[in-house]
Amino acid sequence: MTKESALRNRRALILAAALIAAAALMAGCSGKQVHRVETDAVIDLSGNWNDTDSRLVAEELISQAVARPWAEDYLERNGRRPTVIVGQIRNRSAEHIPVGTFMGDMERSFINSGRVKVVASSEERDQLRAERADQQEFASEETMKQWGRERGADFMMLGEINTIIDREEGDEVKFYQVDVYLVDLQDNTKAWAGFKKIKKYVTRSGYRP
Amino acid sequence: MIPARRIRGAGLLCGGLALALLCGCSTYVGKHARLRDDLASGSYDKALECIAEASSGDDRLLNLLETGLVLHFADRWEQSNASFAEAEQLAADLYTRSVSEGVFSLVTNDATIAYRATPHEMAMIPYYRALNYIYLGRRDEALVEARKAALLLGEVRSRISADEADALDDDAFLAYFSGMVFEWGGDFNDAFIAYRAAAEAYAVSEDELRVRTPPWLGADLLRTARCLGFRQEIEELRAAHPELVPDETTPPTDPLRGEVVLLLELGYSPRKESLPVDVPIFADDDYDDREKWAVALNGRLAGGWAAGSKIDYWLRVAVPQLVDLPPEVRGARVSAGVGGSHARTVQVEDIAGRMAREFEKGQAKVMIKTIARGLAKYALQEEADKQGKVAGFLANLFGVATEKADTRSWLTLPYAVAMARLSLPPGVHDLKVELTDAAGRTVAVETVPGVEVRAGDWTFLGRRVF
Repeated sequence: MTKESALRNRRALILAAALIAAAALMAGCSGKQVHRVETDAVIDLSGNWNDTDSRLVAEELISQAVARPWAEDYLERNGRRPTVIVGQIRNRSAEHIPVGTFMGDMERSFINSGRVKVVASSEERDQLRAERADQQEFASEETMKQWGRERGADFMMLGEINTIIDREEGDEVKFYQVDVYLVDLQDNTKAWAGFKKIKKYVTRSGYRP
Repeated sequence: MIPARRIRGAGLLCGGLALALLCGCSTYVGKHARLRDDLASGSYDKALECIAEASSGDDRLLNLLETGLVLHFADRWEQSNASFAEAEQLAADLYTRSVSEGVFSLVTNDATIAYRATPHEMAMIPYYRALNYIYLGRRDEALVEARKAALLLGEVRSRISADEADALDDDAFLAYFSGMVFEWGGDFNDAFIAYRAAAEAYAVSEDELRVRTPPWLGADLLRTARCLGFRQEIEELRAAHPELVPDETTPPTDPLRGEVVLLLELGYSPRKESLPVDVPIFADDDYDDREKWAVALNGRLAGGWAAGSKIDYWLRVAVPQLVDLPPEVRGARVSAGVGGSHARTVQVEDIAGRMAREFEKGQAKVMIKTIARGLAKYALQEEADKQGKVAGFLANLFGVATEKADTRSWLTLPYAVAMARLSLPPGVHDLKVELTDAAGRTVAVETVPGVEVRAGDWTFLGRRVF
């Protein structure tokens, strides 16, 4: 083999190796890693509604609900703590938002505060009534629960989530507004209104290496 | 003893083959050869298997779209929506283009670039997702899809205001469908806005695509406008589209009846195939700029060349061509057998037409890029030949193995969507659907049994015929 042809073959080999390496890089080196993080760590991936937004809404609404003396006013007027039922929080946004998470947080804070009583939602009541009906047939008389002894709610919690989204090219501004009301079931007056606004700016670069 | 040179040659050959394998030998259509038959025969698990087997990183978006659609027809609506949701997220992330991917495609082929959905493909995602939520009985979530559709179309319209060539991207069918979903969900204001947008978009589309303004749209506009007290808006619409909006003497919709919407998806969208094309390179071709040379060669291909030109080399490239496969079934007569309730379908969406226009619009760019790539491979081949036989062979192998057209598109989409609406009394009805061909002849009769109709409510039914 001459020195010149050896050099030519080496160059060809380098060329092929470079192409294969490039192709391998293109194919990507995938691998999954999982890390435990604090539940209040802020991790934004897609820019969509996430656990942080849900937590911020819950914290804000709870602090607003605690700050207003609507429950104490009711206690003073009626001599007993008010009973609240969580109604529907309508998602009127352009995103699929699980409202159960922050409403669950709110409900829990109401229960644990001891200021109000909270009754089961309509879906939960259906389940409870089925169980009560079952008891009429199968439970002993002394443990069987009676019909017509449910506690009627004084207030219903209602609300809605709205979004305004503005997009251009890779940039996006998302504005969320969550409004929650406590409505007196007797006269439809709103006893308390809470809200939380969240604004996000999502940018996407046009190119990556 | 085997000479070292032969060992190195074999190594290089293996390397070239490995590279060719990485680039893939088969086109997207080739890898999904049995997908359409599996879906048409209702073999959903086989169809999903086919998608999974053929999946690759660059086609991830398409894999998710195909999977979402197959799961939709397999009545696995939750899973279908999960797949579509992932597709939407990926489509948003693909806004960022990879420079290295782009560079790599310049010497391999366009199929090595991550697939990005076309406007008509993106428009079908909220349609399928909304239907999934409707079937799941989750009205609020279906309304979210209608809002997403409105957002998507809003973006398209702002793009159109900058470039009127994109006017047809304003998808009239998606606007109309989202309007019906809004009305079903009680959002009359959003419904009116969507209906009005649909009326404007159909007016533009009717001349360019095989669609007709749905004959129910005028009554929909009038009904929602009356609910909202929109007198001026309806007068403006009547002035702009006198044939569309009925006059004020039209009686209101009977609240004791329910509205049935039958969406008939017809056949399969056109598919792309790889077509080998030989481009002549003349002995006296002398270009410093490869792109200018590619433009000249493209012109030569389209317009021919002078007799007597000395051809030095035939450059073989692979370009995509669109194969139109019109379905036999083009519409239907639908009857419920109750008080003579019957309707004919109207073609409300022309996916094949949209695809043809998008293809035509991008074809010149694709041709020039393909020829430029062919020239790059030709230059590489010439250079490699100078380096020795093995290098020349390897470069040739690389060029041939990587030369394929980008035939990717959402294969399981229908050719068109036809729609019928029936106003029926409450109860459970069996719908008789007479499928008709382009000449209006009945080709098959099917029954949609057990259609539940509630007074003042809407029932949405999506059916696919092949």
